[in-house]
Formats: sequence, structure tokens, C-alpha cells
Amino acid sequence: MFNLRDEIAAYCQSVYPAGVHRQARIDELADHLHCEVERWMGEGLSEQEAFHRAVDQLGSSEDLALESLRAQSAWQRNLDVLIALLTLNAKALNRLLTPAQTSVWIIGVSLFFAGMMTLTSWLKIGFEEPQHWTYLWLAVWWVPYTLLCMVAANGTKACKQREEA
Amino acid sequence: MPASKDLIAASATPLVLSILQQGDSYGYEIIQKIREASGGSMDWADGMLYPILHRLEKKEWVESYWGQSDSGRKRKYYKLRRSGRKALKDQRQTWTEIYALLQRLNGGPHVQPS
Repeated sequence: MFNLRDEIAAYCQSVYPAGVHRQARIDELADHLHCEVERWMGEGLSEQEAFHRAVDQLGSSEDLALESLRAQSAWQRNLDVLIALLTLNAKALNRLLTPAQTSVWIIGVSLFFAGMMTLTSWLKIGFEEPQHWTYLWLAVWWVPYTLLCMVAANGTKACKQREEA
Repeated sequence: MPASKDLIAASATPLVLSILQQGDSYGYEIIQKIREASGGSMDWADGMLYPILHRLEKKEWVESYWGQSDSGRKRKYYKLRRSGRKALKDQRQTWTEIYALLQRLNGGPHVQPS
């Protein structure tokens, strides 16, 4: 059964899957959709029809997300990427990063972990055997690295599909 | 005749600032006001407005605050700042100059930019 509130919430969350201002953006978009649905219902459409009209009138959710990203400052976008990485949110990373930016992040993450390996081995803190730090950092590094590689592959595929279309 | 996508994008900032000059407003109301004032020739994809508002907020031309709709929903209002008023004045000047240039090139009556 169609539930307007849930549909609007799901749509808004899909447009803004992550980000520092995510909740504020979602609330703002949800208010807009409710207003538009009320208008169409006033013209005699059912709740479901009115919702689809309102979403159509908004434009493509991908364009909306892209425009929203362009409006963000670089540090804000990088912070969003970092949060998405820490929460292993691949969907958000797909929206946030272009293939080129993903490559930069892969290099950045790898350099960060290499730096941490060197630093902790050099300081000789915690483990008795310094190489244990290396094993630990390698084990952790593997997670964001794989995630970013998947995002890069997906992004390249999406770019090719867009070009073909 | 409906305005082209490029023209709509270029004119969006002064239009939004002009609406906010009339008083605080929120996204949906801004779109409705523009649609009404243009007689439907400015047919925006509604979603286009929000990134513009966020960009204006980032430039500190507008500020936002949260209020409530009549039905109790959270609603984000935008308010024009002093720097926004100045930006609007500059943009209005630019558009007047462009209009005057178009008039001159098309042999219309000469319009003196204000």
C-alpha cells in the first residue's frame, strides 16, 4: 500500500545518501515534495499520482544530487567522502566521486596507511614486534582500498554507459 | 516563448535574489512566485532551485533559518543579507546593460543602463 510519507522519505534519502548537511537537505526537499503533492491533490490527483508528478517536476534525482555536489565547497565534499568511507557507504561514494577523484582517493588512502605503518613501526609503541603494526595497518587498509576500487570500476562503467547513450 | 535552459540557469541568481528582496521565503514558494511572475515562461525543474539557494548561502548572500509550515512540517526559510542586496544591484546593472546592448544591436529604442 502506498504510503506518501515513506515514499517521500525514501526518495529524499536516495537523492542525498550522505553528507554533512544530509538531514537538513532531506528535510528541505521533503517539505517541497509535500507542498507539491498537496497542490496536485488539490487538482484532483490521487496521492500516488501526485507524488509521481511532484518527483517528475523536480527533475532527475541524479542531476539534483550532482548540482548539490557542485554547490558544495571542496573541504565539505572531502569530508563527505571521508564519512562515506568510514561508514563503508558505497552508494554515497558513487555519488560523491568521479573516476578521477576516486583514483586520487585511492592513492591518498594508500599513502596515509603507508605513512602510519612507517610511523608506528618507527615509534615502536604498543606491539613488541614492530612488524605487527604493519600487519594491522595492511589489514585495515584493505577495506577502504577495495571499496574505492569498486567505486572506481562502477564509476568508469557508468561513464561509458552515459557516453554510449 | 519558453526561455532556454541556459538562459534560465544564467538568470536564476538575480531572480531568486529579487524574490528574497521582497521578504523571507522558502524554496517551494520561490519557485511558485517565479512561475507566476513569468506567466509560465520560466519553467524550471524544481530541483534546480535548491543547489542555487545553497550556493547563495555559501557565498553569504543569503542566510537560512528553520521554521514550521502550517501543517507543522520543518521548513527552511531564506533571508537576503546585505551582501546579497549589493550582489542583486550589480546583477541588475549587468542585465540592464545586456538588454541595452541587445536593443542597440537590433535597432530598437536606445535604453540607458541605470
